[in-house]
Amino acid sequence: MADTKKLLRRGIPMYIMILPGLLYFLLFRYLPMGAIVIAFQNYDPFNGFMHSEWVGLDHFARLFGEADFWRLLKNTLILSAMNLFLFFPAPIVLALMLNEARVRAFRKTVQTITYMPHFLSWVVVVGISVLLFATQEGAVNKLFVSLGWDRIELLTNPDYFRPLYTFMNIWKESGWSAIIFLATLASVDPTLYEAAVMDGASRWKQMLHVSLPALKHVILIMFILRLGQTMDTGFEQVLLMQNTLNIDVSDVFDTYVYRVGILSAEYSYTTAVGLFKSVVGLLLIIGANSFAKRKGEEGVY
Amino acid sequence: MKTTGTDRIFTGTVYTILIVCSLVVLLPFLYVVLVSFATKHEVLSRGFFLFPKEWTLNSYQFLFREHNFLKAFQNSLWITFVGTVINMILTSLMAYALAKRWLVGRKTINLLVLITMLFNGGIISTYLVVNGLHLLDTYWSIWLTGAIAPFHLIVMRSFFQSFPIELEESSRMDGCGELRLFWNIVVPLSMPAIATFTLFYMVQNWNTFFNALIYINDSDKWPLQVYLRQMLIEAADSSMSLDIEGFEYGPPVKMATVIVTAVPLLIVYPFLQKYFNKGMLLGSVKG
Amino acid sequence: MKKLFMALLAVALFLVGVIGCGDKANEGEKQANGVIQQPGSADKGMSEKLDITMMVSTAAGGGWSDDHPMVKLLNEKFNINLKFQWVPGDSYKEKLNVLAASNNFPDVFQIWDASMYSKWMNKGVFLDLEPLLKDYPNIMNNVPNEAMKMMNPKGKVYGLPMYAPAFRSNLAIRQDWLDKLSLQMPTTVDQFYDTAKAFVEQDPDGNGKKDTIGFSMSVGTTSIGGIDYLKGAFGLANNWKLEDGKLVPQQVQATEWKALAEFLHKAYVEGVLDKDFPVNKDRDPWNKLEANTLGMAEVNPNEVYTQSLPTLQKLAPTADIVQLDPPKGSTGLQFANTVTSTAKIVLNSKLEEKKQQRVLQVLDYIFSDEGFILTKNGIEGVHYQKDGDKYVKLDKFDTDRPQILSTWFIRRFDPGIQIRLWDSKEYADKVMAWFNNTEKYRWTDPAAGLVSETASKLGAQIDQKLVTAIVNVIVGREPIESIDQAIQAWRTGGGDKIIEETNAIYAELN
Repeated sequence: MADTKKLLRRGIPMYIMILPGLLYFLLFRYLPMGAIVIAFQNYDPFNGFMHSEWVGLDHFARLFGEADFWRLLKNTLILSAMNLFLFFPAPIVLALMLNEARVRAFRKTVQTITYMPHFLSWVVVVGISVLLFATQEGAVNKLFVSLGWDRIELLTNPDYFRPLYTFMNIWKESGWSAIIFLATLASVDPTLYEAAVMDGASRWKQMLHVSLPALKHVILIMFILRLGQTMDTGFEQVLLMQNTLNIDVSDVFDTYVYRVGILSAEYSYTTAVGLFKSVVGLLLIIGANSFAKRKGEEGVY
Repeated sequence: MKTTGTDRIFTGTVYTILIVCSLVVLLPFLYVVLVSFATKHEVLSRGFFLFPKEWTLNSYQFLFREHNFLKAFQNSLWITFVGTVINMILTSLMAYALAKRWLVGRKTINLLVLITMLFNGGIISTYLVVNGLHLLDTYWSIWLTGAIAPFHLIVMRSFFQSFPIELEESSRMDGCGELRLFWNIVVPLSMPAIATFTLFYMVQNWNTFFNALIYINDSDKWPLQVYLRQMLIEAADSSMSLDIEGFEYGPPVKMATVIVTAVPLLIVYPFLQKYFNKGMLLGSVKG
Repeated sequence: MKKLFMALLAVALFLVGVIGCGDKANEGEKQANGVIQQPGSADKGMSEKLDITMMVSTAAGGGWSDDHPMVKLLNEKFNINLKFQWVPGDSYKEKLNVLAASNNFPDVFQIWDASMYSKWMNKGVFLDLEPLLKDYPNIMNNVPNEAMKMMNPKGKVYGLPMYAPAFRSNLAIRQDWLDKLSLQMPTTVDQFYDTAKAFVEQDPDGNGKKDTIGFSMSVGTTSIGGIDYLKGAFGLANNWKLEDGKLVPQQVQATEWKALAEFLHKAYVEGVLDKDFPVNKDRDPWNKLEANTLGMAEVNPNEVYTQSLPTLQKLAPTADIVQLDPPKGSTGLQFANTVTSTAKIVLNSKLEEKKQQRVLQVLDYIFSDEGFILTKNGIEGVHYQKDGDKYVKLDKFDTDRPQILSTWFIRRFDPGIQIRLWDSKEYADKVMAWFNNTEKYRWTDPAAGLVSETASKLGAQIDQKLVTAIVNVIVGREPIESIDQAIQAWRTGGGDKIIEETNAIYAELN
């Protein structure tokens, strides 16, 4: 008891530091969160959150009863898995490699170049991909035809959708996401490297045994947080890449919601789908976090 | 430092991969840059190309033509500056405090923060709060609704957690108050993290679009993103598109807006980039 | 103490911020509510200066600033303080929905979405104009009764129709390509096909490469676009058709769809149809026509001479684009892309009477001869001037864009909406000739603007599935019979309910 009291007293400056942020979360995050009740209503903007008709779990019944539900779930999970296992490591590898490039000017240049595509919107990126890969007019296919090869339906053949999706993600965001890992590497105690050199460790070994362990903690945190976004697959990118011929593999919850919800302003149903996605994300985070903690790691909460 | 054979191979591989990656990234980006100087008909008729046959400043003239551009640019600078200051103060204070493992109630607050990353009430209810606080048509609607990104808070917290405790303890022994400690010791030594999140928040504020559109009715107060978006939006119905002599909308304008948006952020980058370089932390402590 | 100080400072800054901006907002309100009396123009009952807000959806180029000469002119003329809210078109609907939640609408705004219009009119959001309009002769005389009544319950007018030219998309063909290959203008669907094929195989651009396309189309979320002339020729309805007094949707016309899909499949396989059609956006076929790669496409006549031809002639100096009448189907059907505008301009029902009147005075003025010329061409002496019996455009027209109120907001029912005073008669005649010619092939949608509850809830989803099935047949991934199954699925997935509900609404309104 006395201990808690002491800790509380010691924590006073900390609580003051937390207070403004906490106020923010309560006012601008938790207060609006009340609107989630519309997932259980037939929300009508003119009746408001309090007076809209209550429908219980109807919207969830509609979602789980949707003929496409399993297809949407499967597509979403596959894209997420590709993000998690192919896209997620890319910035880490890039950061480690940049860390090894000791020529300062070179490293800075590469870093700046890889950072740039983050500022291109998906509309522009997907637009460029059409210019390059379209079947009739795309630069790649024009080249193929002039070489006497067959055209490749890169944009419309469902088999190419997922690899292309992952590649575009890696292309656009790796450099940007690497920043956080680079910042972590910048905080590594140089004496650790000096000690490793003394032990005769090669550059490769140094990277493996000094740099990578230094990243472990932030990688874990990022990984757990990413798991929470499992059901989000980058709406804009998928929607722009989607066409009638690849829809079997490209239709995900976000694009479905766009079609049934946004286009027809069905806020209640959209919210219900969103709630389902969030709950899945929360469960994954809780699972991963307790797993990490059992392994003696610091989790996200 | 002696260089061994394996090291040379290793370094060689790293450089080669980085060069290849840079080229793969650079070429499409270069396309965007060069197309912004091309004419519409060339873009539409030539497919993918790097060097325009006919160079023009049409796209930039089109964007800069209206005096609203300058206004929007200034608005964006202001929104980004104040917004980032607010973001950084609130986030770093909260992240630092939450990094203290002994803090009572820490876990609850962490969980509260985490939940907001997953669940949100949507734009309508947030709009009602903003409206209720009379923040509509002021920049506070943008600054306050986006004051802290929970993701950044959580990651920043983990940065502070790996902060060497001995250093902190020794300063505390010297009778350093918590806030002095934070400001004089922790912040300077956490510059890589501070720089990183300053950059992240800056980009977020600079790219503010949707919130500004919803909360700000007065088009004189619009940030650059809303201005640019409305410059290049294509009419859904061709009878509503305007033909203005001497100006063409088309893809080059779209690319020009990308450049106009990205250039300020590319200029800022090197200033923050230097903090990502290694050896900052302990070097400065020892010195 | 010092340690606390910094933290308190941070909190204080935060709070001062909140309170500070509260003040600002109040100031704004005070200004907004402040009534500034201004004498003059009392003759029209305009002695009191009123604030009027108008929300307009914008496209490329964006809106006016508050000190725009057009705004100033209207402000003075009507003793108002006009405040435009320009909202980029692709976010307009979202903005409206947010405003609905706080019931915080501007005084005048647009509703583009037919289902939103019919839902919201029953919520009392829009002012019923029926009892008021009789005092505004310019509106009454210049808006066709049919358009005024459309989508409204009997005896009510909840919004003024926003005009769109019915034939903004007209089929066009490369005359120089026809000449080069010594071909006749195609008149039937079969000839259309042969011509398209010749355009692909006989190198009409003469560069020695087989790099031209016969015809193209685009695929949206819920429909196949750019080939309305073919849909019509194959007997499909323009969304809905009347059969024995009952509305029948295009979606269930299995025989017609199969015939069309077969035609398109053949074209796709033989390379006559653009292979990129599944990734094409609306304007892409037209873009390809302008890029000298496509022989036939739907174009907007207003832009043919100002944009398409100049662009094209940079690539092929002898290029010529002319109108192509919709090809005749095997049963003699011949239809052109026909659009019925379902957009409405509405007044906020919460407007006080004096404001209602003032707003309607402004709108009535826009429909008057003087206002019509003004909104279309700008201010004389500023945006154009009279030079003898001719008009000359001034540079200010291009920088000020005084015509956006007419292009994006409200205008008379006039197909020549994009023709300006200074355009030559020859040019105007050329453009109007396209519209007049197409009039013969008008393809009416008897149910335009009627959106049933189920259609707005499930329509996009089931339409999308049907389109997917048809496209799969066109590219040869599925057999032709799969269209039957897809139509069956459309019906059971909500289509039958849509048919029933839409017929009920139709019966109620007519």
